Amino acid sequence: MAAVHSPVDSTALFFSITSSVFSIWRRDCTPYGVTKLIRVLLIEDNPIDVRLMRADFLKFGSGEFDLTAVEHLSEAIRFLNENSIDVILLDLFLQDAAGLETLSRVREAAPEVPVVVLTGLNDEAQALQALKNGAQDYLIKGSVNSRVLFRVIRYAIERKQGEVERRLLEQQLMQGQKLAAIGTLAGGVAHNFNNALMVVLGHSNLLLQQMNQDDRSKVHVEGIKKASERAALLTRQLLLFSRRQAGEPTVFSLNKLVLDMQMLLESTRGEEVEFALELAPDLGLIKGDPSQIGQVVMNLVMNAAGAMKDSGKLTIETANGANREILLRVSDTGCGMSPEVCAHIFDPFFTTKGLAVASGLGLSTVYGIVQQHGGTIEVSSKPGSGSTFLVTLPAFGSTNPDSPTDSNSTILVVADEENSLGSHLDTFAETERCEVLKADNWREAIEVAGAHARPIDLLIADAVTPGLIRQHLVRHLADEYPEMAIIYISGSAARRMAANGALPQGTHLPQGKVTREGLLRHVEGVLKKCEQSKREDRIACVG
Amino acid sequence: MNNVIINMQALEDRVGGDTELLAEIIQIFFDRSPDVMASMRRAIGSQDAKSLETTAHSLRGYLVNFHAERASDTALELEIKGRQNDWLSTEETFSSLERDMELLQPRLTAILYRIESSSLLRM
Repeated sequence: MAAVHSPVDSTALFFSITSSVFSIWRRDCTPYGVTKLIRVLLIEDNPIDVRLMRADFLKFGSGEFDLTAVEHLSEAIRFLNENSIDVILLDLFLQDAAGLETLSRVREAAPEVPVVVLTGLNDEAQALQALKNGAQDYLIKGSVNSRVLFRVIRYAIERKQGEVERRLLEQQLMQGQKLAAIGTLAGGVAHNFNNALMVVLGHSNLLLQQMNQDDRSKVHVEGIKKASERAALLTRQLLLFSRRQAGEPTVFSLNKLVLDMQMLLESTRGEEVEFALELAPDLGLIKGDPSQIGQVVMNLVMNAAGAMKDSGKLTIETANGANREILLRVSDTGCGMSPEVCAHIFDPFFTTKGLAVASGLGLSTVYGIVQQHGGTIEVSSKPGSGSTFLVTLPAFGSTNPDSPTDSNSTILVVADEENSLGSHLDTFAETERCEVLKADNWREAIEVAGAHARPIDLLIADAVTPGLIRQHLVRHLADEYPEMAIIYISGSAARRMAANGALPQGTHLPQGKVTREGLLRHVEGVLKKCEQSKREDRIACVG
Repeated sequence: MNNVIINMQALEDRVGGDTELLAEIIQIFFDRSPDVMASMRRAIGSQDAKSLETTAHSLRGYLVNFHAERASDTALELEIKGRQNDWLSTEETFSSLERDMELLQPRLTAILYRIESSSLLRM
């Protein structure tokens, strides 16, 4: 019986993109037209058994199995060291080994390969013992027909795969828990460290403003400022990676994400490897989880860097696709991959480095994230000629039901990552046909707003963001969109600001604590007012 | 004691009616079994229990494939004697095995002759 693959799932197709290696890959991952044979090693010293089994395989399993027979255990061990095998059929009594010792030596040589023991009618007790010692199954010689033989082989492989996967998942879970703990710790430290850095940066700026042009200390303060900015960039990256859970989908720039990660990305390569960024200046935005897309970039870059031992070129490229997609291309000039390796790279636990060195989950994680974001990933590679991974993600607005042309108003939310404001607004946005853009900070807000086709009607923000920066950026947005209304969430902070004269005239400061319903009522009210009078009551504060 | 010298039906089922395959395995048996018998004889002579167990096991492996039930039972007896280092009446059991083999060989020769004749007729 020949191995037949299930019908093609279009979402799981991978196209190579260079003509020299043109072929189509399935994710599961056999090249089309090529049937993967189950490689069977028969360790048997009885020539009659070997001959009969060969006849069975030839007559009934020639399209599915590839049988190799060896007579001695020593020969088998040598073969296992040099070849990849899917299942072993083992006679426990050989000329150079007997009994359960035969099994233990085979398992030592190939611990991940399932073993089916071949036994005589009167040796079942030993066969049962062999099962306890790790054999997957046993067959009684002389009473086996080919159908039973092949079924036992297939089940043995499946059971063993299940065992291996379970063990790896357990290890992965433990490792994941450890990493999550480290991530939480790192995230906490980075958050607090970042706050301290903001103070250093703020004071550096104040000092620089107060200094005369010819002040001899100016160069030192500028040094402090630059170092603080670099440290802030690093802590931002740490925060990005410590936040591993799927976050709120936000609209963001892939270019900015790559630039934010640049230092981290560059650190993955060897000294002699050239690092190139080719970022499209007019790149559209994407909607998704920036931390997950960051992980995609990081994993692809680490993979590319790993393919180049001494020298080469690692290129990260972004571009707008022809059909409103955003393209991310990561290419290297490294060792490349054979079609066989290429066919398995997105399989969980597949690694060419050995599972002791790598988890084998990097590219399967990439695949999962890209799929979750409605995108595709393609790979082209050739041994000795490097590899290129092409990620295609939908551009923001291309498939979004809240696309600008359909919506009544556009709300821009600038909120801390812990703030549930964004999710509160999602339901509201659906019913009121509003488009909600989200940004984690003010700089991102300006970027998101700038890349958006329509003006911003309402800005909702957390007033506790650092004073000077916020005031400057709010002014920038207000100048850009003169008809934009503003709602501040943290009313107490806003009231302090109003008392200091930091808020423009016309600021409304309602009393009481913010509730979800209260907020939505307020948003609705402000948007209605906006409709009536675009410039009236432009700024309100809640809470 | 099982007196079936050769279970023809089971043997034919095993080879699936493939007479060429049957002829081939009979030939292998004729080529290999004398050496195994000789080794077994030496093992008994030198009271080498391990060797007796191994050689009797090998021969039993051959015999099982032909469903030569009587001879394979006797081989099993010798195998167990070897495993248990039991030399009581081992010579007698070996003599029984030789007799079983003498009964088996003409049967196998007849099968071989039949196969060869029919293939000659087909030529």
